[in-house]
Amino acid sequence: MCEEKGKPSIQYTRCRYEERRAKAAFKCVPVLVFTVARNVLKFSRAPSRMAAPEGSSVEVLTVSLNTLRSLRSTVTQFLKTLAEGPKYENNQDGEGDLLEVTTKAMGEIRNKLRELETQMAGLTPSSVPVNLGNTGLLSLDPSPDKLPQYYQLLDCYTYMEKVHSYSTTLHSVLSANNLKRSALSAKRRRPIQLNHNVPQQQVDMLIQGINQMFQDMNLTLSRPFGNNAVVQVALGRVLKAVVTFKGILIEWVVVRAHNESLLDEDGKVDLYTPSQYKVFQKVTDNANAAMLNFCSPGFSDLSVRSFFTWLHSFVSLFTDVCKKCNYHLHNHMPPTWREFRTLDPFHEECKP
Amino acid sequence: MGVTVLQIFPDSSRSGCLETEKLHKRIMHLDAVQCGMFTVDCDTCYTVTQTGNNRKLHIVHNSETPTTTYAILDTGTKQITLSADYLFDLLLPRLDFMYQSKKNLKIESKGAKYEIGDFVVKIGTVTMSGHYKAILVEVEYLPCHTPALCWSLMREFMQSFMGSCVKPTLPSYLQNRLHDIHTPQDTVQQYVEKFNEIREGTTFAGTQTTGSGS
Repeated sequence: MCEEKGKPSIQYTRCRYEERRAKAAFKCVPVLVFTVARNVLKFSRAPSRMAAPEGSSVEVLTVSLNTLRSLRSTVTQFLKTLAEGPKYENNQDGEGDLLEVTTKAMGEIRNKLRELETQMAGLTPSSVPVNLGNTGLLSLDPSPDKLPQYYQLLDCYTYMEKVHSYSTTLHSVLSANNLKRSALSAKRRRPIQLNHNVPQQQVDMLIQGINQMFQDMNLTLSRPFGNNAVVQVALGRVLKAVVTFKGILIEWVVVRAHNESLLDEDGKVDLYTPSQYKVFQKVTDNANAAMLNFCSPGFSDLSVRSFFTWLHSFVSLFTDVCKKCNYHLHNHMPPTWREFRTLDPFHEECKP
Repeated sequence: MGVTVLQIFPDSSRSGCLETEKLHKRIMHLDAVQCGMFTVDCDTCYTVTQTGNNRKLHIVHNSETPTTTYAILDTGTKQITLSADYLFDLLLPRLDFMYQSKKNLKIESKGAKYEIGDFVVKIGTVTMSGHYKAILVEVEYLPCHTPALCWSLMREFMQSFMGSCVKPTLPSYLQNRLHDIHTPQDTVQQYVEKFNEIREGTTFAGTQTTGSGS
């Protein structure tokens, strides 16, 4: 840039004016970049991303994050050039230099932005986002450095997600008959179903179906904790139960007597208080054992259905005699055990 | 409140304490835990008006429900139960123009209470105005509330310590309420029924009479 000492040339003034105009025009650029960046980061942070850990989408995400990074650096570079003026090392005409540099940088930004936008379009959010409930509000914490609870929570979710997906994969591998060639290939084709993060409608449909299977067993579904369902079971005049779900997996079962309430003093579903009667404490233990026995990651619908079929067999808790000893009572308890396959009643001590 | 069944235990020696001791020993062999005492008493009033229909009013107290007074109006064919506050006793003297009590008909069952698993067993000695009359055993199964569901289970339990005096058929009172939810009123009505049998004096042989005794 040519200038006389003490008095700025007209060209220099023009340059400054151009610079200011360019700055005003590109003021929107950082805002735009910031918005895009936030969206991309949202994608990368949201737990929903973890629900679909397919290799391809993770790659796309990495690539788009890289593009974003380079876009940011280009914008920074551009603003820096505008603020400090073009470099004087090369003995070129100042005006041409600034214009050239800005145009070039703008072109680059436009290209990068377009690239990022196309990559963003390729990113699809998971069809089933995890409903974090009130814990999701932690992400609104303006100073996560002080208390990084939300990120710890996400780490925890990621960990659980991995445990579930590994166990699902392992289950399908272990349960396959390796002697048959077809079994292996067939298993591979089936998409991995994650049981703990399923749409609410699927759980609703399943419970409704089970409700219609048995006339004397009444199931009531509620969601007091956001996404996860809690089913209140009333089985004839014999017992009541609370079955807590995590997705479509049964997480916890409590069995109580017919006259004991399923709600606590505040009118909320009481998930933990055990029954005051020894019979139902024993049935609760056995129900949890059965829940674990029936749990199978590959066929979660079936496992829930078989669990409720098993629970329904307790309709004759007080009337059945033990299959082995042919008595009602042993140790002052009716037969509290039901065989998993045959649903035959047995005492705790008589079970095969 | 579970299902309650009452059983008169035959006492051939007519001494009372011997048979109660025997029952106590047997039940302790079943790992029972003694947990206090119980009393059920019954006062009976008769109508004084000469309108033709002879009514009885049983006033029953049960130590299990200490703040409640049960008034059972017995017309001979039908029994109406009223569960009232304990203050109902103070109201009764006001009704003496209608009902008059006979002091020597006051009957009560008193004894020890045991817990075995989810069962509660009460072994009571029945005395009528101070004289020993019979042994009355109350068995309650707490987790179940419908007699139809748990009768055979309870029968098996009762036979385990009372032997063959427990009949395989349901007591007549429960037979009519097989599928109803059992309430404390049902227990008290069974007591009144048994007390009436004992008053009639047909129980020392240990046979169960089916008439209500009115």
